Amino acid sequence: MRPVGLYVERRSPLHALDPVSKLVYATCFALVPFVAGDLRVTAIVLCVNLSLLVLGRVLRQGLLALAGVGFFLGTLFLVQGMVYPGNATPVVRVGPLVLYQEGLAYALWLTARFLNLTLAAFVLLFTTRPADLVEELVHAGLPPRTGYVLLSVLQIIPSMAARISVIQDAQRSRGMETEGSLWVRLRAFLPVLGPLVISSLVAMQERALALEVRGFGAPGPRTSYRLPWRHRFAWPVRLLAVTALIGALAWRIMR
Amino acid sequence: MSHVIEVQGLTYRYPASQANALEDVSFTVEAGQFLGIVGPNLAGKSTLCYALLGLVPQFFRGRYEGRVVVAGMEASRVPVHELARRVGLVLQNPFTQLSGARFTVEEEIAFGLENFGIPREEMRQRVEWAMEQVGIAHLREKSPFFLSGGQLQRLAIACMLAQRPKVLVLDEPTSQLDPRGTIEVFECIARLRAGGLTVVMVEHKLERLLEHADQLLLLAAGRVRAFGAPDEVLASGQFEACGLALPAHVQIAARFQARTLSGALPVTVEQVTSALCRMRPSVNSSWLRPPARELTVRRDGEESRLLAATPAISVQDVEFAYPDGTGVFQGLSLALGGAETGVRATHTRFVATGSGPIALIGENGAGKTTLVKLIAGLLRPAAGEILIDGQAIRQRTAAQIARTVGLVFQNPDDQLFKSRALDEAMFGALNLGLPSGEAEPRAREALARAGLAALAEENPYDLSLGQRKMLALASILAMHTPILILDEPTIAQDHPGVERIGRLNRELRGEGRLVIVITHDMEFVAAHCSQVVILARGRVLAAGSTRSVFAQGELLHDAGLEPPATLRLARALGLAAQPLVPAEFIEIWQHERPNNLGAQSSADEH
Repeated sequence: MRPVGLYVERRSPLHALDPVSKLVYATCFALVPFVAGDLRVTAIVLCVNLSLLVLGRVLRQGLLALAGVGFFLGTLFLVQGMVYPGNATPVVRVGPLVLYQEGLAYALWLTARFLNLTLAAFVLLFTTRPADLVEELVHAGLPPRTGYVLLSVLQIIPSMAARISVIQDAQRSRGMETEGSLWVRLRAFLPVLGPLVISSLVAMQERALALEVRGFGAPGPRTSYRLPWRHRFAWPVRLLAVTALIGALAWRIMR
Repeated sequence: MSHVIEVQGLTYRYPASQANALEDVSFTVEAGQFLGIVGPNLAGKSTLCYALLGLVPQFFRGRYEGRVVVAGMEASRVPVHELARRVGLVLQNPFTQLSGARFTVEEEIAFGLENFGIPREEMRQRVEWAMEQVGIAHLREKSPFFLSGGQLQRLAIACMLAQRPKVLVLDEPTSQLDPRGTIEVFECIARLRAGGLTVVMVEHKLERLLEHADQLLLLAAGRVRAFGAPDEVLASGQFEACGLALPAHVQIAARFQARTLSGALPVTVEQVTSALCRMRPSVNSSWLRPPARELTVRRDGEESRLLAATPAISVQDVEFAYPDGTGVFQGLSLALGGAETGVRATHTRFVATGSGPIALIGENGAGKTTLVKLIAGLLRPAAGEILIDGQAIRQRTAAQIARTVGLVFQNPDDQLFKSRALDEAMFGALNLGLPSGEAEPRAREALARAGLAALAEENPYDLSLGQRKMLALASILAMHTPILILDEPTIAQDHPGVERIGRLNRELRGEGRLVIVITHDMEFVAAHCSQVVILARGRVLAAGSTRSVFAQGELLHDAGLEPPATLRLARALGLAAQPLVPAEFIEIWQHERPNNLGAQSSADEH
């Protein structure tokens, strides 16, 4: 069963950094372009994020994931280029279609911020196991029960996917066709849904029993098996990220 | 000695139920003792386990009378998390016992300890100790979600051990384990008992239970039918009255009225061996060994007709690895079923010819289920070919292959979804394109063969697990496939259920259908399968007639298996013959033994 998330197993300085510092970094650096409101600052931050993806040895995965939103971004340029309210200077004319400079510039600004936000998130998500992030948040003060709920939610999707595959196999072995047209696939849905829902309910009851006998309901303080993640650059990174955000705000005010 | 468990007049009914699950149950267990709980399906065994942890009535609610005191705490009043500090519970399904929120084995074991606020240093020691006890220390970094069934079960036990309980309650903890895994769990429990642990275990694997239990509690329909020392319970006649079967070696001992030195019924293979030796001292002298006797299957005209009709599966140089990179097979070749001349042409060393049933055995993770999924087209080999009756299946979808190969999964809940058993039994036949007028009689006939004729109108989820397994089997039977593969059909079946499956296998064989059974139950293999294939670590170790394969003791040991109890008994007694079931042993023993015992036995019979 594959764990949920975008995490890519690698050995890199970024993978070694503690999850909370990466979360602080990603949040601050995603916000910097919005706060600074300047394309040049955005370009610098974009370069920083791209460099970090290289450092984390996950640039390829990042670009591949971005390719998925390429169509959306292309449409953005087309629409804004044609219908942006401030359009005045035509740049490209293809038959009846006219693209204006103001619209294209606005689309570039939107795209740059969107790309930056996505890449900053990738810096965190491609190099951090979701479970590690939640564990560290619990160490940082998140209530353990909330942490448990978050972690078990992370498991629901892959465990459901695994169950669906088992149930589909069981129904295929009873002659149910699951390969072919959309109609064939739709018809195969109900025989999968029934066992999935019922087995999930049964599993939920059994898990509730198991949690009871493993002291989940016990009052009193909990302890943690894992040591908190320590990294010598943790505080410098967090400080740098917050300083960058404050700096962007100062730039905006003083400009 | 003090009573660590005291149950008095326990009567309990689940909230939505019309009948009591437990009725006036009373017994006591002393500190450090091992209590085995046995009984047919729906006897109330699991409910009793829940009651010892206070889950009945605190979690399930319902009507509760009587008193249960465990480790000095009244189970109906003390909160479950308090009881859980001193009483551990291991359930049948190990996967649902995981926290679902820990991503390595050691963190999973620590989950309960974190909840109880155990300091980190002590947690580390306990986790280490618990992993050592069940032999999973090498898996510490592995994700629990990637473990095999057997590994998961050991993890579930380790999770409880780490909580250092005084009493450990286990509900069929070895149901997912191979014979070696089962022995390891029992040995582990024995080590823990040396430290004073009290154990209560529900278990169908009687032979193992009898080696360890100090006391047996026989439950049926919620009532205690017998309670006491194992030999007394077995000799009480209640076992048979409840529809259960005595273990093979105990049947033999009972047949010859063998007794231990203290005059009790011997209950372990060692005790039966000693008792029979005493009855016949000459048996250990090699010069008096009985001659080897031929116990072969007759190859008459009927057999030849069956052989010609039985489909043949040929697995040729198959390679397979799961998408996560776990390699299973590298160049696997094997021929199953069909007439001998036909399969010889496949040039494989491993051939299990004939009309079966063929048992596919091997330890957890050997590749048994992967192999049958490849045959059923649910998985595709990376290289090599699988042929059924000479036709490659590569181009056919799993649903198309299902017209030829019916695969009954281990867990019936992976497929049942209709609200009526009859509809469920018709599902496969309708998928074949049969009109409902034709599918219904087929489904009714299949239900009758599975012993569910009277339950055709019931909702499948109102049936017991054993009955649901039979229903899943019926839905495949109704498809009339020439090949049937049953994955662990005897798990969750009581003795009548196992006998029914054995009978059905023989009937199907008589119809010229090839039956392949994946199982860990060696007694079932000995009694009901004529051919055996042993898989180990993705390779075939042996294939051939059941007797010839079971004769290769070292090979079985390599594969983490052991021969059936009857054969082990025969070997321990130095017999050269290879009896697989009690009837064969009794025949040989009667034939060879001195006249005075024969005379005594005849007198007994008359």
